[in-house]
Amino acid sequence: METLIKHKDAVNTWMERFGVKFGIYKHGVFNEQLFPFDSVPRVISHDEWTVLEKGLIQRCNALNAFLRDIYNEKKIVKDGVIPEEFVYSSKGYFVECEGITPAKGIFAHIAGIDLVQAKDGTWYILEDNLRIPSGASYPMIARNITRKVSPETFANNHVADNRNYSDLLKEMMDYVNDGRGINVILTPGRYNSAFFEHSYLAEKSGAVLAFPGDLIVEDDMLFYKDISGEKMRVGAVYRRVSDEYMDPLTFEESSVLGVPNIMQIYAKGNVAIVNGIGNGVADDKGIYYFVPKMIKYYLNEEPILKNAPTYLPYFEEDKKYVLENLSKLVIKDVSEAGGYGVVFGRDLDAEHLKEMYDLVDKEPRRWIAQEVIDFKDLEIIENGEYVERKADLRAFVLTGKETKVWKSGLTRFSRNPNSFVVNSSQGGGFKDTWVMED
Amino acid sequence: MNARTISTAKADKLFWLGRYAERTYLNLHLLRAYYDKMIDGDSETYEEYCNNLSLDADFKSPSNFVKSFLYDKQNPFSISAELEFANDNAMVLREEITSETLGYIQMSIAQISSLAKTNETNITHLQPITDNLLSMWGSIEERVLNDYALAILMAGKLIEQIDIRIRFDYPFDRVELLYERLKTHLRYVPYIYDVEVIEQIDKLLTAKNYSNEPFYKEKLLSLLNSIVGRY
Amino acid sequence: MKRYQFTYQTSITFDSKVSDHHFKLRCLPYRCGFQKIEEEDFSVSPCMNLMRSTDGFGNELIFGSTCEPHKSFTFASRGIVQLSQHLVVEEANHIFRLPTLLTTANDEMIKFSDDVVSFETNFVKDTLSLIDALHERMKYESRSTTIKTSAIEAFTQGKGVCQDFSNVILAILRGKGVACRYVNGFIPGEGESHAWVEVNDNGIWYAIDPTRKQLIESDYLKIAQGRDFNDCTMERGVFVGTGDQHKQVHITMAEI
Repeated sequence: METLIKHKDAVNTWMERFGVKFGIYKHGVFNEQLFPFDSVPRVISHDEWTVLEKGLIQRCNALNAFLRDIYNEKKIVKDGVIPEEFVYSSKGYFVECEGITPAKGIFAHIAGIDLVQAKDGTWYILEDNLRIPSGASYPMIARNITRKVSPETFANNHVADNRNYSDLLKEMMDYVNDGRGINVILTPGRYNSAFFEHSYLAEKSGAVLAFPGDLIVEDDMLFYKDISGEKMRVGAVYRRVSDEYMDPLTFEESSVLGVPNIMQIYAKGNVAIVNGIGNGVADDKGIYYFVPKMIKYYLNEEPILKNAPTYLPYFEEDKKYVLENLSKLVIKDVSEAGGYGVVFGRDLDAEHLKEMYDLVDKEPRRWIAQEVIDFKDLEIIENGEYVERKADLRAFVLTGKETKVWKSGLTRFSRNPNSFVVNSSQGGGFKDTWVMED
Repeated sequence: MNARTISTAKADKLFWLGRYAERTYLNLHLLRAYYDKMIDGDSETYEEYCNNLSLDADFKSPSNFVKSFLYDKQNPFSISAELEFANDNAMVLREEITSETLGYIQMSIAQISSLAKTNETNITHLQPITDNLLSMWGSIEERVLNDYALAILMAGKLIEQIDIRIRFDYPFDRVELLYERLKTHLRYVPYIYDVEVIEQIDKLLTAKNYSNEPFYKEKLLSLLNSIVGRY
Repeated sequence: MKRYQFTYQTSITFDSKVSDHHFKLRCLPYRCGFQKIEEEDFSVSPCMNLMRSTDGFGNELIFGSTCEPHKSFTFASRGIVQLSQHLVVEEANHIFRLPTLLTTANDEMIKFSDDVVSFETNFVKDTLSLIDALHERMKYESRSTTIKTSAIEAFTQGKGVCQDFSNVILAILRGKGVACRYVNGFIPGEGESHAWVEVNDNGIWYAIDPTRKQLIESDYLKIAQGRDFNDCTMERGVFVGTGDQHKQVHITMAEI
């Protein structure tokens, strides 16, 4: 591993060469910058991974069962396991998806499950991302580069190869495509923050990278418009456009990023959309609390992986606890994402604490509260020195014919020593994640 | 699955990637040639360069000229600007041209950006960019599997070559050779070009007609630049 | 049971040509027990690409696109239907209990309702009483609101059209936890479309017209249902082009 660290500059030169960039809007101006990479990998032992893998598969199977249920029979609500207001008032719930069962019954094809490890080694699930989780391309290309730069490191360590992510993606897309036509990746365009990933995954999975305007609905099917005037039928769309913008005739009318009327043929099962529309109802911060209950309800199994200890002020008992212990909890706004809307009680002065108290008291449904987990920090190299930083792990779970966990993941770290927020949109960096084969 | 699928927007990007990458390469070539002339004290020689490119510019000194044509992104004929244009197109073509091919443009941009920081005027430092661009075309030939894409890239490259050669009064046989090659590539992609324009050029571009007379050149260049873009 | 013949036509003219026009239309009778369709026809012009479907609320959809530039766009439907009493036995989906942007009640509206009825036993009777009281507060006035006017705005300004009377009633019912939905369709005569509501009482949907203060029997033709107007829009379109558009709607319905 030391040799790998020695080659840090070489790694960065290769990153630059391959255009491994992340777009950021600052003051309305679009800028592309290198996604800071730290050469010290996160290492997960074979035994540890075996448990994580089982737990992640279990969790995603339950989440898919929940989505199928919620847009159809709603048994989990009728049986009183989840209060209906948590489902229907979620911003991610779309009434337009009622009655729709997507191709092969899969809603969450690509799940990005965020975990953290506590000092005692316990893994906790922090968040489920079932809409457009991004980031798999970064460790994938980083591995490609580090293997070139420091082959001896990989000759001496039996690390599971993670460059198969695009194969897993293709296998899953082919399954839901079911031979209807080509696979496409629909990108909002060059100025999307994750455009690198869209184009890189298209290249590696052999899907056609489609831009808004390239796709059209005709004869109850989806087509890609070829310059020759021919139309290629599309069987599966891995779309990187969010739900609200996918169909201007169903959702946001001003959207020019989507495909008019795609919802109609999606409802008919004539095209697979990856991820399904309406998944936001299952990765809502409020619904998160109920995932362990879903696992019991749908799979009749005990949850293998733990949620971070979470309180829902919606329940009187929890509200009382939260209000009494506000200063030691993390408060999260359920409607925000990307590390925004996260407040640590201990950072608040008396005045802001009171403000928070009133907010939780007045709109309990809007918030969840969690105990602060004593993170196991990871080492990074900064100016030639080892320093410790907060880090999380985004595991990628792909559901096609089977549910599979990609043997790697995106480890993000905070570059600011005092920050718990690791999101790339807030300046964090990333590491490779090694899953050991033995 | 369908190696030949190309959307209209992508065809346009491929064409302009071909043009800008080749334009950068050729301008580097011309810069070297004019720089060489200027060594002998012929400091006004850049005026000829500007005239041939139909640029109305007045650079107070040869070093200003070099700086402007290397690093000034406001000057659309600068190497920096042309590489950015090439990159704007290449970025959205990664899956067609491959990451390896895109890498040559990325490395060229990294090189010119680092030279711009010190306003370096010694042109030997530009050699890696020329090398990268030649490698890029090699990479395209090796790695672009889609025949349409390859033909469109080549059409862009050849139109740029012909354009510069007409502007700088290259002999007829050099231009004709490239024009015949261009037509060979265009035959693969009938959707992108205008047959009538080709017919007009065929009549105009003959050994007998060919001259450096401004009106003739202008007419020829205008036709050349309207061959592709029918899509 | 009565038999009715209906015709429907919307013509849109654009100030300048538009292209890549994609549309989604709801202008065919709703399929349910109390509406039996004997004949049905529709046309869209100009059109190159026409498809049919139903949405999540069970509404009939016509959708498609026209890429060629055009300055006018017309769609029409006609048919013969047999209508019987508007009753549907069906448990209400929870979403019909939730307020939407157009159907949210404020404290004043809830107080207004509480002064009149209790919504404890007979939802239909209470809704009709509430409607009678509402007409003391709100008067019908053509063009006094737009399709974006919310229940609160209409209630506050004290006037509105059929859509607003329906929105206010839906808002109050939802505020009281009663499942109810917005319906649009046709009524005998000539003119534009009409809006009314359906209220779920013990697993049965009853149709009530808040504008005409009555329980609906069998002379209303239901086209679409949803949480509010936005779920039932008769026409939605996106196109490339600029300039204003002018819309003309003409509906006829007569007993035969």
